[in-house]
Amino acid sequence: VEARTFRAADVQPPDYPTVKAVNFMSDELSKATDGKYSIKVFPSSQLGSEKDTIEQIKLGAIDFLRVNAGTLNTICPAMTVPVMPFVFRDVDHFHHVVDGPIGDEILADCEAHGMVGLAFYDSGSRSFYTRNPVRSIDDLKGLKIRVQQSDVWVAMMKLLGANPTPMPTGEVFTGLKTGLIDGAENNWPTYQTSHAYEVAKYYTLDEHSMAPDVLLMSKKVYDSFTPEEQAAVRKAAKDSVPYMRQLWAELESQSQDIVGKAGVEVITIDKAPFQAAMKPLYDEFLTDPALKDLLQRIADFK
Amino acid sequence: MAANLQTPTRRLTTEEVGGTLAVYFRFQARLSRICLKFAVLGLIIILLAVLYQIWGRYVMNDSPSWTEILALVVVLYVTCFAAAVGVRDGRHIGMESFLAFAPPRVRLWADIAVYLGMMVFGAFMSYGGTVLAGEMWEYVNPGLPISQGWSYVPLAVGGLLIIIFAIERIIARVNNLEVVPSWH
Amino acid sequence: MALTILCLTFVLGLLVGMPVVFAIGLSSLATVLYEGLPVAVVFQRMAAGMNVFAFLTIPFFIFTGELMMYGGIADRIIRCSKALVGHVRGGLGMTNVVACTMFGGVSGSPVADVSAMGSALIPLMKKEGIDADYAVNVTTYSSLVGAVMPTSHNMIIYSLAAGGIVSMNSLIMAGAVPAVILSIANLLTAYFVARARNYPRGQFPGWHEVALSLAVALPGLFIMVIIVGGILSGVFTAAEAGAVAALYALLLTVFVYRSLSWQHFLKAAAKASKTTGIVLLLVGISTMFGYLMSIYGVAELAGQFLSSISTTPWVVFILVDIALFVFGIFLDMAAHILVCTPIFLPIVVQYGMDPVQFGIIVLLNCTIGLNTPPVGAAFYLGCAIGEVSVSKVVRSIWPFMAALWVTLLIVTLVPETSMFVHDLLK
Ligand code: NA
Ligand code: NA
Repeated sequence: VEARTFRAADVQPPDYPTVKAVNFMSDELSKATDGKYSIKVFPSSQLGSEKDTIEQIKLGAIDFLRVNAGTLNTICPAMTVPVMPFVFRDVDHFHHVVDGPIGDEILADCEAHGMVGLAFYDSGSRSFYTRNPVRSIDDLKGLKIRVQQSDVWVAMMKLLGANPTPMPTGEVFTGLKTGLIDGAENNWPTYQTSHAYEVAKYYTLDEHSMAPDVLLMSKKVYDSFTPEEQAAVRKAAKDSVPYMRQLWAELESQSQDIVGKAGVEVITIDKAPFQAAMKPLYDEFLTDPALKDLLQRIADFK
Repeated sequence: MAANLQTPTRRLTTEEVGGTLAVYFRFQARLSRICLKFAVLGLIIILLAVLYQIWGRYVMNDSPSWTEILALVVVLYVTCFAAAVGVRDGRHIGMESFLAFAPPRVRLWADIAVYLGMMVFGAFMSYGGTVLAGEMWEYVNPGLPISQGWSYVPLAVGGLLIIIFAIERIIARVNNLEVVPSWH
Repeated sequence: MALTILCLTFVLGLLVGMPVVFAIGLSSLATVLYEGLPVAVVFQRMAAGMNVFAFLTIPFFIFTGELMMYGGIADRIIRCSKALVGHVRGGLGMTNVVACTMFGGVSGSPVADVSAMGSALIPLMKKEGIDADYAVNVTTYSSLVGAVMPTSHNMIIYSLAAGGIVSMNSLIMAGAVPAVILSIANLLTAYFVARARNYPRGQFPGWHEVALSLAVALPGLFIMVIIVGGILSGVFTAAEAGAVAALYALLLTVFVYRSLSWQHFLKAAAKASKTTGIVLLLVGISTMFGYLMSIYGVAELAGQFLSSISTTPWVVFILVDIALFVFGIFLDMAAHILVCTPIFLPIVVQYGMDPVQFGIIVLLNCTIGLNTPPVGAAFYLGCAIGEVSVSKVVRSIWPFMAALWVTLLIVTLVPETSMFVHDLLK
């Protein structure tokens, strides 16, 4: 049998947990298929942005892809649900939901769009970081907060009273430094590696979203596999999840350390007012009753 | 004809030629002006969108989320239309051919081969743009409620325009005529 | 095999006089067809490469420059700069160096710099009887300094590519001395080339004319204040500053100078669109080319090769420089940083180089790349604005490139150039 190396894309650097996890998965897949299949990851946006690589996997130019649910939701509507604010009570709740049937149901939504959802990876919780301290929801009023170019994030910031400013990731540091924006929101590792903590020294721990990362595979390639190979690739993906979670936990605490040593003030905050303010978002973006139902089942999940 | 190619005197332009060719070249000149008008309109739309973005952020304290996406979609139209006109104007940047001292007949065929190459590229660009537009048609842009497919339509159209203008260059080259750029 | 197809078709196309865009485009297509990849993917890369908000600075600044030309702003500025430095040989060239360096320092984008300053200064210099190739080279080389001066978003890209071990502030401080060295090198080159070419020098017109011309030029010069001040103070992004500058130039020429007719307005907009089309298509096609370079792992292969040659630190450093230079020929700035950093950083660190110093070296190499065909946005933009052929510009590119290489060599072999200010303030 001819050996085949598949192409995978990721925007993160080579040592990022998601990249390492897909390398791990490649080894597992190679073992399971007696060396027939393996995966080469192209990290650091070498093949383009998240949006670009989604288009490429649909065209069949790449075979595997790691993107955030917050980018994927313009293509796969069910991905909007895990992006919504305060959907998950905590990390354990998040893990149990995505590891179970609800997680599989959300992943399956991608199949109609030419992609097979294989696994959810951790991406931590997103919180605000700002040039001036935000100690209550009122402090956000009128602040120019950088968001990703996405309806959901823009609407979220408007509901909190902020002035959402869409901007590419690469410009956030300069924007914060010059005061073009007053703050941004992201997880611990991004807050650290983007160096935003050097200019935005207040991290307000409201943890408004846990938008996860998603591992996808081209449906064309998946359909060309035998049922045994399909099972092997799914298993290898699922097996990479615990490994990824361990790496993620290490990265998150490492980032917290670095940021802490740099003298950043971490502000713990009452989340209730944030939750209340964001309630209308569910009605605005989850108009499909099936998605509403999904949201409800996540909330009921013990 | 070979002698004609070597004459150092000023070449006739496509505006000065008569007969059926005149009709053809007038049509081409019109087409390039229409393309440029689209490009200019696009440029002004981009300008207004970005100015409105600043206005929104500071005056209304409510940054519009559609301006950036709109500007980025429209800039593709400006680029593709104007780049096609660039083929007609012969303004795309290149090195001077190493065939500069080759016999006129060789140079003629080399030039034709170059324009044929552009036509091949234009054809693939048009095809690629169509495939991409089709693939992304059902998805809507975040921030701007139009299909993501619209970003690839200019590639499909621009590719066709590149073919049309490359053909004009070949006809002008064979007849030893100079193409007059419009609006330069 | 695929790489051979890529390179051969490209070189062949260039040799018979095919424009660079189409030579790269066709060679990429040939490669993709050979590999059996979907053709549409190269056009997806092309569109994505053009679709960068920061690149909107290109149409805006070119439009502003055209408006300045047609509306008489440029004439007033040239009168002023001539009064100021016209009596020094190569004065206009040196004015250009200073202006481009100041602007590049602020914008952080050499391409935006060339489009803003080049659109105004290259036609001015040509008008004064200076060769287009000199005008283009002075502008493009001065603009490169911006990449190693704060605020440069390319520093952030490097810092990300280095895996977060290098702080932004360190890079900002490390860039200061190399930026000064490079500026001095540019000034000297501009002066000596002007002397060698015997560009005319005028007479000093007297202080009265200096003051008068300055007053007349001031409203036009205010465009620079809008751009520089707007970005530095955080009021605008670079693209937004470009839009405001265009609006200001429009208002000034229509309502104050009353020198812009409707026809001139249309012509300015049409010319700006044409230049935008030519440059952005090239940027898009370069992205397409870079995609194929990534897929074939060209950079990784080079990294392995390099570490097998020598183990003497300074030899390795110079070899890395050469490798970075070669990649700069084919990759655009962001792709260059992201692709090369993870490969070469571990090698140089192993031989004792500080990652901060390496950051400056990478940025300098990227800037060289911006000015070398086939993938060199600043270079092409300069040629397009100067309306001059590549081969003509290449004729006088060597002294400027040599100045940049000397700077690079100093920064590579003398770590203190990068680390002095950095260590001082730590
Ligand atoms: Na800079
Ligand atoms: Na280059």
